[in-house]
Amino acid sequence: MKPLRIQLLPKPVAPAWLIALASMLLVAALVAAALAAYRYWQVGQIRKELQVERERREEQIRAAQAAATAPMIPPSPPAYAADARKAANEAEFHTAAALTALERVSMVGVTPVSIELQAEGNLARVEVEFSDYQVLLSYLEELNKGEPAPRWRLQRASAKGPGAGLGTAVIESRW
Amino acid sequence: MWSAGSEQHLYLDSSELQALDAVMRDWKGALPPEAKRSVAHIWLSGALAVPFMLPPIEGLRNRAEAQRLAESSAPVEAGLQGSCTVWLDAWKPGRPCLAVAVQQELVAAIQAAASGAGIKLKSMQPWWNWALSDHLHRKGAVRLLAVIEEDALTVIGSDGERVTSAQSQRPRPAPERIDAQLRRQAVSLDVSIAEVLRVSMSRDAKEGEPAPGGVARWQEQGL
Repeated sequence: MKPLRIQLLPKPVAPAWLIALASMLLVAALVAAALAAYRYWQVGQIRKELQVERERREEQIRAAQAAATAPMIPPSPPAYAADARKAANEAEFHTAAALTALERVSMVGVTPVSIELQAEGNLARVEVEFSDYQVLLSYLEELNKGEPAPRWRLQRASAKGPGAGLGTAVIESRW
Repeated sequence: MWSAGSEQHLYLDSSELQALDAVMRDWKGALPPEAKRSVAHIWLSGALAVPFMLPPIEGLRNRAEAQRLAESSAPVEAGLQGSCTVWLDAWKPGRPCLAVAVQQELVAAIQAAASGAGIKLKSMQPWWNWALSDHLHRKGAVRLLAVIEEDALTVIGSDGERVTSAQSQRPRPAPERIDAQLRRQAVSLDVSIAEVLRVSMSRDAKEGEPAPGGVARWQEQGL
C-alpha cells in the first residue's frame, strides 16, 4: 500500500496581472506561430510553382534537344508540287531569247510552222517547212550566227522530192 | 512545535479554531529567528480533516465527475457544515474511493490567519495521514489503524493494497470504550485483532515519539 499524498490547500491562483500577462504571451505566441505557419505555407506554394516552372522548362529543353538531334525528315510534297515545279521551270526558261532568235532570222524558203517550248531540259523545238535543203542549212547558219557554239541543230528533215512540194524539218535548241 | 530545516509544522485541532489568529501569531513568535521565513505544513486533527469512502456510483464516467460528487456529498458523508474542499484518492469506476473533506470556511480562515501572521503555507493534510504514512514506511502495510486524537477517533481500514474503509468519530469516544469499538470493527471487517494498531496522540504526554505539530507526542500500540 502506498502512502497517501493528501493536499487540502487549494491550488494557488495566479494574480490577475500574471494571468493577463500569460494570456497576452500566449496570444502573441499563437499569432507568431500562425504567421510562421502561413509563411511556411507560402514558401511551400512558391516552391511548388517554381518546381512546376522548372519541370516545364526542362521539358522544353529536352524537346529542343530532341528536335536538334533528330534526323531531318523532308516533308512530303504537296499535291500541286509537280505543277508548281513545272511553272517554276517555265518561268526560268528563256522563252523571250528563243523567240527573239527565231524572229531575228527570216529567210525565203523556210517557214516556221510550230514552236514547242519544253521547260524540261530548256528545249525549244521548231517545226519548219523548207523548199530545199540548201535553204534549210542556210537558215540554221543564220540562227547560230554569233553563238560561241551552235545552239540550233537539225533534229530531222524530210524532203518531198523535186516538184513534190515543201519538206518539213524539226530544229532544236537548248537554253 | 516540530521543525526540520526550513520547513515548520503546526498541528491544529478543533479547540483552536476560535483563536486561529492568536495561535498563528504565537506559533510564529516562538520560532527561532533563523526559521522566521520558513514555510509551514499544517496538520489537522481528524475532527477537521474528515475521511469518508465515496461509494461506487454507476454512471460516473471520470475523476472530475467523481470529484464533484464527493464535494457535493461531503457535508452529509463527513458530517461537516457548509461547502467542503475534498481531496480524492485515485478514483476508478466501480470501486470505492477514499475522500478527505475539510470545510472551505476553515481552509480560508487558516489561510487568512497564516497570511496575517506572515506565514507561508506549503501543505495542509490530516495528522492521521502522517501516522498512516509513518506506519506504512516502517511496516509496509496496515489492516486497521486507529488514530486517537484529543478531539476525534479516526479508523482507517485497508486490504493491503488500498484503503477500504475510513471514518472519523467526533467527539472522541471515552478511552475505555475505544478498544471495544475497535474490536467490533475488526470483526465486521474480518481483520484479526493482531492486525489492529492504535496510534495515540497527546499534546501533554511526556512519553512517546515526537510527531509533526511540535507539541504532539504519539504512541503506537496493539489492542
